Amino acid sequence: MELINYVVRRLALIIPTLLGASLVMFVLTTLIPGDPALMRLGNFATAEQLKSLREEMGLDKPPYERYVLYLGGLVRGDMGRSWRTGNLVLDDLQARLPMSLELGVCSMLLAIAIGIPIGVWGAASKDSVVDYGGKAYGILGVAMPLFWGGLVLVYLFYFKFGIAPAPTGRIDMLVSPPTHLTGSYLLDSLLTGDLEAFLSSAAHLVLPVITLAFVTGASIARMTYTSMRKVLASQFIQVSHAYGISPRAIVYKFALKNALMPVVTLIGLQVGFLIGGVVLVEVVFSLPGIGRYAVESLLVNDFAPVQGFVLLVLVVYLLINLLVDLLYSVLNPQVHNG
Amino acid sequence: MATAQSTTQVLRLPALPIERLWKRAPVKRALAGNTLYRLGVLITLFWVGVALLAPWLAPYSPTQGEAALAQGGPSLAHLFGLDKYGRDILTRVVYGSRYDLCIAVTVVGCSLVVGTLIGSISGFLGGKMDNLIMRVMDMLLAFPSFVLALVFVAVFRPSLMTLMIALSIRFIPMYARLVRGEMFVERVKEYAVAAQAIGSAQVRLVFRHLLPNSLSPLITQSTTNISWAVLNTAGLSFLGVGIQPPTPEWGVMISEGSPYIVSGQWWMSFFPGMALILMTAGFILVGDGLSARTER
Repeated sequence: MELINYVVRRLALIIPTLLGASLVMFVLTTLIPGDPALMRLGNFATAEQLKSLREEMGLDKPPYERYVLYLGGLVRGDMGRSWRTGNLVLDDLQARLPMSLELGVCSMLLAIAIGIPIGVWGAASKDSVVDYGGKAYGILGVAMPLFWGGLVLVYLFYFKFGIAPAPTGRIDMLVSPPTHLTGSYLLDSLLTGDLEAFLSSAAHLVLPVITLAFVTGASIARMTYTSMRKVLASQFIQVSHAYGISPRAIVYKFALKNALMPVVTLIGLQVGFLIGGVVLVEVVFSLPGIGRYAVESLLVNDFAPVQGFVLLVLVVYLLINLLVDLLYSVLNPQVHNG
Repeated sequence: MATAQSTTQVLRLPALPIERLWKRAPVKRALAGNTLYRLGVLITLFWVGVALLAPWLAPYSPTQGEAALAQGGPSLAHLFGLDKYGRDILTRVVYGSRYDLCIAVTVVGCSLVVGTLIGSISGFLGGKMDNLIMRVMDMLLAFPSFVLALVFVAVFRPSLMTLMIALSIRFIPMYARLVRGEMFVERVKEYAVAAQAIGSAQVRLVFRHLLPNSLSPLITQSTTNISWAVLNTAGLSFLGVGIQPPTPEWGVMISEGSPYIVSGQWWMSFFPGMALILMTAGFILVGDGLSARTER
């Protein structure tokens, strides 16, 4: 019961945050120097064309009225229309979100699978090869710009060895995409048993996922390492050593449990970083996700999609952090959701 | 035993308050830590040197190219090769150190000052104001930072100023929270209580006693922040919303070279990226060394 209360309260907190964000976005986009209608039509537009477009875009109304209209639209799920693609922003985002989720989720899972073992193993065997190797990986991964890492992978595996597909799109041109169920090509092709589509879309995901996971995994490895070292230096571990419990049992049974607690929270924070990474990786590999959609819209001053993108990202981010906090309270009985 | 070793290692490096760190011969102190830390300091000094001496180190002009040699690979005359306009990449990498380094240091420096002020004022005021200020800071922290910077820069036209403001928005709340937390820890320590007991004013207590003693974790955090700021600057420039071509900035150079990767001309993007790694790694190593030193 307490848990349900907590979840409801946290969910309710999302609404003011979104309101704040939508207001900030709205103010930012109305503050832009220059006339949006003029930007869209170019310098050769006639006065009448400008006037009618301004009316169509609602620019003749005062700002507060436009904000109220915009909010009203949001409540009905109307995020406006992108003039670059000509579609409703909501439809555009819906079509592109599964791709980005697919990329983000696969990368995060791989990053956790790389980062935690390296961190734990390195901390448990101090001054060994694993320790130094793990440290070197941690520093390299955190220092590397991931868009550059993606390019290096493309050069090696596409150009040099020729085993990866070209960095364009999420599936081969000649392969037809799987029947639309969830929007994720991996899931859809598995569910419909379309092996060809599955292999092709998986092949297009491998390099982007490795790029993101390499960098994210390095942060996770560093956090796990620090946390693990702290626990291993604590008194209860030294007492366990004095009792003659085997080092293996101490590391994997006693220390690991305690060391992973803070790591769970920190992984939640990594999600914010991952979202920025998804944007960059989608651009590098020309993947049709929400990140590239937002960047391409930004570059031509098409702001309705950007507003939609920011709100969507915020919702995803806040929900994931809520999930992480819940997971934390399940793992750690000391935490009472107060 | 692993744990015993680590304790002695930590003990060998005395945890010094930041004031004493400055008073002793700084170079000697800086080099007294462990090897990785020393390496980090060396790398950082290397880049500072390169940035200062760029016009004398670089063999060619950073913006004028030889069209006849365009897209040429690495050779003896052009160690890092040439880009699509025939500009020498080594020269551009050398000049590029100025942009990312200056931007990152300025951004972090400004955020440090502003964030510290906000944090200490908030902590000093206490009560409702404190609550309000910190809620706003939390809200800013809750935003995925790269996306925030991306939108901000794009909306206000990419320029050096907007880029720096956008990056600062991310770091200011971080410092404000850190400094406020530190001051709450320091406030109950004996020296602070003693200062209050002899009747020093609140303002004096905060700015003369608490603040200087809360600074050392901020300095540690700053080196890590500089490496993030470098990567974010390059990332935004790569997307086309940061520094604009033909400026020889590393992110811009990687972006300009990226179409040639699929045809095997790797050097245009590769070398600026390596430079970026070397610069951020330097700051990360320094940060790691400092935090190992100050950990009590």
